[in-house]
Amino acid sequence: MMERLSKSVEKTLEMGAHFADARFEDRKISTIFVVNDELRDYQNMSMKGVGIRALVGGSWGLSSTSRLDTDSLLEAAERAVRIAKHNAGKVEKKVSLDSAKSMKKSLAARVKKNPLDVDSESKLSFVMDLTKAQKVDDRVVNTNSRYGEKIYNFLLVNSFGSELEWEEIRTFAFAHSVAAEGDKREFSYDVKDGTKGFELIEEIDPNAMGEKVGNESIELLGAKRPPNGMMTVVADPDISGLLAHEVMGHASEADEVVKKRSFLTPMVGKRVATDLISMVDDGTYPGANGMIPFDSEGTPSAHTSIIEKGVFRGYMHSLETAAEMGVEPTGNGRAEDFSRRVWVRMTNTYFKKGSDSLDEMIEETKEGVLTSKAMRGMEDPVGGGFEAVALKGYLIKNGEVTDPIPSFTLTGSALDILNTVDLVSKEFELSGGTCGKGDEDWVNVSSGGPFIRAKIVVGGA
Amino acid sequence: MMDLGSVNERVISKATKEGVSAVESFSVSWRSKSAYIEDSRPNFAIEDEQSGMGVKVALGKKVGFASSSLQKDEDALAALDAAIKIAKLSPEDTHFESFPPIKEVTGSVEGVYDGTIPESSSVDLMDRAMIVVESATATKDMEVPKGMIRAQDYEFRISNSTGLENGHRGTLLFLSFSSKIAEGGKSGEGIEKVYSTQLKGIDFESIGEKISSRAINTINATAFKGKLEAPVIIANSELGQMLLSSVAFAVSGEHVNKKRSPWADKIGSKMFSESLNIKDDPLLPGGMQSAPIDDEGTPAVRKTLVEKGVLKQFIYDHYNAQIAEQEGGNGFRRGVGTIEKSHFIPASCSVSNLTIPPGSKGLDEMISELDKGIYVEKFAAPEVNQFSGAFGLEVRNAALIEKGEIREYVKFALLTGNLYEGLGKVLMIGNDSAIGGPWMVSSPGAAYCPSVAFDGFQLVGQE
Repeated sequence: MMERLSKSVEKTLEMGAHFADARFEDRKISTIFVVNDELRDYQNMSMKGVGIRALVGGSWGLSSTSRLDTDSLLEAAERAVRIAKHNAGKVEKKVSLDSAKSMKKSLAARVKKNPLDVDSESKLSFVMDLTKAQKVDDRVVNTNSRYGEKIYNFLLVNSFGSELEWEEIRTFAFAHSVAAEGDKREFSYDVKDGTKGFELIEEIDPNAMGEKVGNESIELLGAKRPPNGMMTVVADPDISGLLAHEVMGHASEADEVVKKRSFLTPMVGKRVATDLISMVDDGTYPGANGMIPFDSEGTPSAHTSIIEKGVFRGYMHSLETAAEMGVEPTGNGRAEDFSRRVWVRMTNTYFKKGSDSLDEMIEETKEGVLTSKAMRGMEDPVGGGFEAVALKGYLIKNGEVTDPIPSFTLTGSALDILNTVDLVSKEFELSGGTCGKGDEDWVNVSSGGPFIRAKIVVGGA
Repeated sequence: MMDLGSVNERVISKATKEGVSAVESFSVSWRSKSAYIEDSRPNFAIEDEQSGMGVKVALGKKVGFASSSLQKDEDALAALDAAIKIAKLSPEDTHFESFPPIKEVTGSVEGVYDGTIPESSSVDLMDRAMIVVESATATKDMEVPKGMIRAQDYEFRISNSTGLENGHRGTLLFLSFSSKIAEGGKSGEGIEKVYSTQLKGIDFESIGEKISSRAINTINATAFKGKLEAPVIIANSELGQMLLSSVAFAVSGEHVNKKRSPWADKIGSKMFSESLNIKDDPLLPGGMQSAPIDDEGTPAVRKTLVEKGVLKQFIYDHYNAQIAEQEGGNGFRRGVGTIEKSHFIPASCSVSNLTIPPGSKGLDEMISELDKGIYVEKFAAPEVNQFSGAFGLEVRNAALIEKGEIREYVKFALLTGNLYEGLGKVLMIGNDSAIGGPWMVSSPGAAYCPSVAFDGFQLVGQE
């Protein structure tokens, strides 16, 4: 396959491309889904294909196909150049990627136990145990458990002479309970994931994880209506991670910066938070869900400082944005798969931990809210607005955690929030998942960090 | 494109020889063309052609599913082998009975295939994208930092061992553009997303005008302070997304059977306002999820879900229909905004096109009838808690109404409330029906609804 990719890249250069790369992907995903003690779904997915990119002037063409024979790839190469050439005349800026480095490397995933070497019975048994454990009470009316493994293999050839081969392995476990009492229904969940093999699953006690989720769903049946308005919030790692990822992270993606869509465009060297806040994107973080050896352009992943002691330091880059801004690429040029374009994307994005303990943070809060787990967040690179939905939370009164509250939303200007951060915990956690850019283009990431205390508008019903 | 009928035939034939009790093969081919704008200029164009298939087999009540990209017929047979292997390893699914039987397809649907889409190249799409840009940037200082158009034509075929053989050809168009204007340290963004089955008839110039005027409204918006409880008009596209995250969940037969739905035991109950009707319409002309069959090959049928405020019925895929002893027809895997990857998942229970029939009042008339109120044009992410109906949504652009007129635009606020309760407090239903897309472009299920005025929600500001 490497030879076929090389021939395709050669073809693009013969046709006038200034830069080209060809990426083969073989993605295998297997999932087991159990609902209410019964297997609902056990499936394998295999996705293979090649995407060939050609750059002419400042215009990119990408042609992709699931047909892998030489003729189909050469045809795709021709098409990529034709598309790029057609639009090249309409693009004023020229992109020169001449500073990109050539590399030849082959990297296997660093896992202890490849999921492919584990028998299906062990995987099924784990999911069944996880489901049974959730049934802590008759009020738990629905239990859902999922096991998954993702095994991705990549080959990449580019016109600088790079030939790369690498593997990514991820596993995950997910538990979700629904509790009901009268007309009221509430749910809770937990998820563990990462760039690990089956050892990630073996490190989980399915009984403890399942029971915890079941009990949390019941606890929410008695939750009080959340408060509305500006509050002192002790944001847990999930919510602080969303603040890092959704607002500060997406706005630090350099493709948003070069087109001046980011509210952080003029901010390098300026204070954006209290000096307790430092933030990084780290694609090298061992075991984290967003860890990648190379991005989709073949750039090695990196540890990129975004905020240091409250001062904004810089952006994440693809080959194109790095060339445009005259800096080194940071390994953040990522595509959902071979048929999708590369954007600048995050990997593992988080605030660095501080020196306070969570207990101290709560003790020092007279009245406020402690968040617990996230349901979702939304990016706003233009306006810098923060929106995150917490799964649940607890009221804090006179330094003590009191009543649980159900799902509520946190919002406000991210810079306003970060400039009120006065406590940052030494407890630290990353949560994985996937991230879309705009409406689609999902990639594996993680976000998280410490608990942080700040002033945030909360609202719920 | 690949001969999909032949792929399914080989899979069914081999599965039968292998002695499986039942088998279902879904295969799909598509061509996709995309054009991306960056910084008001062409930047990236994509042309993609792929095929894939998914196969589900049953060995008695042991079921397995596997899927694969297709570069040659052998890939489909390898997927079949993988599905059989999984079925052998799986515990019994006591609810599994069979795959859907042959039923006559009587419904027809118009406007779901536009022949201009397969004929259009990514270059043609780029030309249209630039019409949006030129229209938007006709406003001084307006930029289009980001935009994209994707057009797909596809065919899928579904066959199973009961002898069912069906298929459908369709086209999909998805557009997403954002404009930006900056002035005196402030910036405003205007966003428009369009889901359609047609390329012809799309007015690209008006999309540019729309994102331009939205950006201007946003830059002029001020941060809302305090709290306001007043009638709220929620714009059609935003309400559609709220309905997909809540009502579509509550009426799903899968969630009803698994006791997850908050409406599981409410059939026949008067739960909502008398003026409220909700249907599931897989035959809606030009509907994003419209086809004469669902993705299991079952004939598509219109269903009344809520009539005059009374919950009438749920929707079912074949598996859940058998459990509940109801009719199927709502087994979907096709995404609303893209056909890609639809073969990687088995069909599951989903609404097709969730519709609220339009009322008689235009948006301006609805606004004119409110002495005090709020009009929400854009949320950050219009998603509702599917179990409780509760929401707290960040308002990206809203207008405060006083004495029947828009007084000012506001942002940095939350609209809070409970949509399930709100559906019982409907004040007015507009006549401006539009589509609301799902949270994920690749998810099945679209919503077509007008703007609706509700009572009982609250706007919460920063102080």
